[in-house]
Amino acid sequence: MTEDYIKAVVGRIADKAAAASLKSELESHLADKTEYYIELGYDRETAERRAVEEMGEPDDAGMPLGALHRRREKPLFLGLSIAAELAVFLFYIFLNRRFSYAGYYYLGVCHTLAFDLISMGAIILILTILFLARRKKSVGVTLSVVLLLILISGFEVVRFKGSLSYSLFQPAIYGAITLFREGFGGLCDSVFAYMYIPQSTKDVLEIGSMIIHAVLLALSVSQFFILRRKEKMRPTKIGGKIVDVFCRCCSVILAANLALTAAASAIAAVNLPQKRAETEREKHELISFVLNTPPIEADEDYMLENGFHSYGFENIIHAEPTGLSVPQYYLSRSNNLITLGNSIENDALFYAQTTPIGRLQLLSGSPVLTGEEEQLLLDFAGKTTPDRLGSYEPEFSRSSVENGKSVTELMELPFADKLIFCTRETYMSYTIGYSVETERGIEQLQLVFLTTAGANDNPGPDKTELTFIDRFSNTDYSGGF
Amino acid sequence: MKISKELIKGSTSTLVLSVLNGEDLYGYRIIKKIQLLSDNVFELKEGTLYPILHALEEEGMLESYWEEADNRKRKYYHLTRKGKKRLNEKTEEWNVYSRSVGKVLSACTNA
Repeated sequence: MTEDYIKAVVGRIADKAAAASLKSELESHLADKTEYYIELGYDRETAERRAVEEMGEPDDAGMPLGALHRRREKPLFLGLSIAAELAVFLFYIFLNRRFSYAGYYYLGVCHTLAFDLISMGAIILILTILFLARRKKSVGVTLSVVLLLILISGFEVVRFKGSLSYSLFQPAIYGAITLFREGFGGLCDSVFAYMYIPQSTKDVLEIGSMIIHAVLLALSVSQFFILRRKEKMRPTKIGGKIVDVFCRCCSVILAANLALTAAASAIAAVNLPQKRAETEREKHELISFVLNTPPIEADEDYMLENGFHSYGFENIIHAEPTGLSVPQYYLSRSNNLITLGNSIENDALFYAQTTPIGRLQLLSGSPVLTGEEEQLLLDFAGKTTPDRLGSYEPEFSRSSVENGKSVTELMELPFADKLIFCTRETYMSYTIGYSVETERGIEQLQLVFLTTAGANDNPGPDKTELTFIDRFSNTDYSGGF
Repeated sequence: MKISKELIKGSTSTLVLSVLNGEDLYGYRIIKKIQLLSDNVFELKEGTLYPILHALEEEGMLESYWEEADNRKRKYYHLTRKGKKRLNEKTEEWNVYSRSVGKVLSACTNA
């Protein structure tokens, strides 16, 4: 009977340590009480029964004690989660360039360090307030957490074509999607920005961020209820459990952020030397190809024999009304490359990405196009079958025309599937556009300007010390990629 | 005479704090001491006492420690400095309250 009573009371206590302590306390209490009745002359059994009966219903003590000793948030677990989240952000900030943000370059999105710092500041602020809310048991503080979360729902701010766009950055979500789509190798590659993030993934990420946002909001709301309940000391057993599970899930997500990022980064870091070696080899193949490409004047027959067609202005689509604001402008097209120019010079070179979605990427020149004009160019790109990998355009760039020594070549590389075009603008500089081949196929276009060092003094292909300039990041790759 | 529950409710924790003033006691002894000092007027139930003890401990008014005597482990409660302060406040509050209630009651009863 004594045991039944104690079991019933202790059963209400979720906190294991508190339950064990209370069990001993009640045992000794009942023993004292039983002894008292035995001293009064009762037999042990009756004494025990009286002692228990006087204690009242188990719930009289069990309910309020249960409310008092709910399972507490493990400070260690919470601390680890917070440390994990901070570590992830620090990790991303200081190794920013190497991470998936870089992939956004392809989409014209730049990620900036300042926004990372703002994001981290916001996270620290939220966590601090959350801690204060726990300690001060203040409903007001919790409400401010909810508001803050709404305000900074997009704490990863990115710049997209001049305008700012917001999205919630969650490595775990990104990692899970990439893992699902590309496997672990794909995740490692994307962490070090060897692949860009496909548009479709980005869309999913946006949905993911909404889900995470909702989860965080719900967490705040649950905080609110926890504090309310604490103040009134009214236990709601089911509600308490839900909140408990919820808090744990959130902590797991935060911890997963770190685990996933750390694991992918570690493996990618191991693979990095090999990747670098491959890139270096490809670069040197390109250099060697460009240096060994004969100038067009020297070997025009070579071009013809090898099936290179004079393309450029012979293919001007005079007949087609382009609808562009300057009607005398012509379009020419090689593969997905489109030039836009007039009869004297080309103003711009575009790369038209027709799949998975139509997007026009400016490779050189600085034309200002309306959305309608961009669409026209995209339509134009879609009208011709992309059947040529090599073509020849005599007047490719404005500078080469102005210099009066224009020799521009668009040729196939030995590894043709990777090269889109290669041009020699002058004797000193070359432009190479090539695609990066990934597991998904040819995906990423890179434009590289190649110039011979000290070219002004001694121009010519013999100089092997070269400078690569990535047009998109403006980074000098002279020391290697 | 039986005192109504409502009347006791507000002052139980003060009673608990007061019996612990100057002496560390365990649950059973607390009940007995209150009973004794109140001439059996206050018969505190365990279901009332333990939640109060644990709550006061959580608030830092009390501290507890285990001690073994006569082959039995008992959890003793000790009044902290914070608890003493609270007890003084509550005692003062009670004095004012009971004096005022007394004044009103005697004035109206004699009228």
